[in-house]
Amino acid sequence: MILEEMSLALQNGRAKEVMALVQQALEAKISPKSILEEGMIKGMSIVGAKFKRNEIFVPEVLIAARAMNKGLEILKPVLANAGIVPIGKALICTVKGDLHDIGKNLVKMMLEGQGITCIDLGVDVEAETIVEAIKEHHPDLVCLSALLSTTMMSQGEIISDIKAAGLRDQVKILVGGAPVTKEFAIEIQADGYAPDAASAAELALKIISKR
Amino acid sequence: MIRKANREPDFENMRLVLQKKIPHRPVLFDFIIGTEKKKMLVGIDYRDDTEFNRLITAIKAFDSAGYDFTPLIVSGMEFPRHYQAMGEAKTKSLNSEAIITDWESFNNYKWPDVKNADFSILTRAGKYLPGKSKFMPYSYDGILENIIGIIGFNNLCYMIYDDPELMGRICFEVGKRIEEYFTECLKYDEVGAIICNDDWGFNSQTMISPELLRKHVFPWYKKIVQKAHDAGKFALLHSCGYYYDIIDDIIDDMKFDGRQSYEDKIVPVEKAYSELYPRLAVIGGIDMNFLVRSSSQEVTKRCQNMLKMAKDQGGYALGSGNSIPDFVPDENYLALLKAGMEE
Repeated sequence: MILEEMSLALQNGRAKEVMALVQQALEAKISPKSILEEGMIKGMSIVGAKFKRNEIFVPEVLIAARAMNKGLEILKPVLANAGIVPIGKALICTVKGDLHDIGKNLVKMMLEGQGITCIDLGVDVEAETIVEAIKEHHPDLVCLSALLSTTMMSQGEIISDIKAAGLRDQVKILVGGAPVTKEFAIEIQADGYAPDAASAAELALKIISKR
Repeated sequence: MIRKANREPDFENMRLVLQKKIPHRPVLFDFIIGTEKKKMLVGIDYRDDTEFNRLITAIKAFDSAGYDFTPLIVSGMEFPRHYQAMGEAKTKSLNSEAIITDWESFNNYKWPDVKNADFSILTRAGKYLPGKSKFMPYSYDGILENIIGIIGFNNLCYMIYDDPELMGRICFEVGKRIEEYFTECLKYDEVGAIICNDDWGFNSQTMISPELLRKHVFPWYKKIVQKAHDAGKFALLHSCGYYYDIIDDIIDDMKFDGRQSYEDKIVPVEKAYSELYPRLAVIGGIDMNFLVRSSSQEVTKRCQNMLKMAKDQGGYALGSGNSIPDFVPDENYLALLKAGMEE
């Protein structure tokens, strides 16, 4: 019951209510893993599905993600104490030449909504920075966003650089952004492409669960 | 001069397109042309030392390319935003220019005043319009774009829920000023139509819900379009992104004459034309990514096919899906222009 209420409060972006319900659930001795999966992730999954069907829009996703983050402020230390680790880790950024961050931020929120830890390298990111970050953080996924026909070409260059650094087998690479298509993703030898943020999270989850 | 000497610029052609009729000859439309492209079009006549000379250069460039109009912004109505250092980046963040975050910053905000914009440039520069060409003014970003610019997109998303009253006030202050801007533009004989430039969507949906757009953005455009029509002029919407959920608002409520900006990933222009004409004139639409990545032969073929598709019905002007930035290969832009000049 508490977890259902939590999922609903999260879907509606009611951060204070989510925080109170997390506290209440912990006091009721509900396992932190259940709180995360059956309360929060379940709520964000519904948000993602509604977003994909255009039943809700970016503002609704943002307030839901904010509510989840507030709940996680309480839950994270408990999860860590219980030895529960995130299901996967993703590096995410907008590639060199692009300062645009809406799509990247949305994908990040959706990934986090599925329990995937995100290391956000920001915008206008050089290939070299990404290669170094893979070495440092050992992510499962690298997610690259681009807005223009010109900047999307650097997604392919980044993949080549990751290959040249001998790291290609360690990560799966997802690409996205306004001009990016499935055909382009295949052309540059990315591992996946998603047309929207919710689909990106679904794909990421699928890839991570196979690893 | 790229255009043939016998292809005299005549806004009548653009007017016919916006009336969803068949123009006397193929019509070209593009909204923004990059600096290097303008240099290519005007050669040694290129000057950008003053606002006036920049406009004269634009007039010459649009004439050289074969358009029947010149788009322009009358300066002085820019909404102040934080400066965003872009370096070599080609796009900007919709979160980095925010100034208004609360009531205090709202009350301190320096709103632009239409009285500070010098609309006489329309008359002064209008003397240089070739043949029967006209101006098509647009604003420094549209209503939603300015709202997003001064609030920041993420902040806007939160403000919708955290302080809807403040969000509504900001929308009102922006909307009324854009309306005032276009109201002034429409007073000039040199203006044939206005371009309402406001991106409302991304690939898969609108930036905010259609309900919020209907409440805070569309009513202003409805008034602006009505004023254009009352002045015997036309209103073209340039709006990027997904539009299916709001297309009836664009046509039936706001009553735009035409719409520009089509992306193959969302709706290819050929499909858009078959779905929207004759309710709306379909403008441009040769996808940006296609224009950048295809051969000039492929560009020519697609442009010819699109013109052929619209030939017996009208309501179409050939152009890019969005604009002609400098990264569009010269040969592909020229292929598009030449396709539009074939009688």
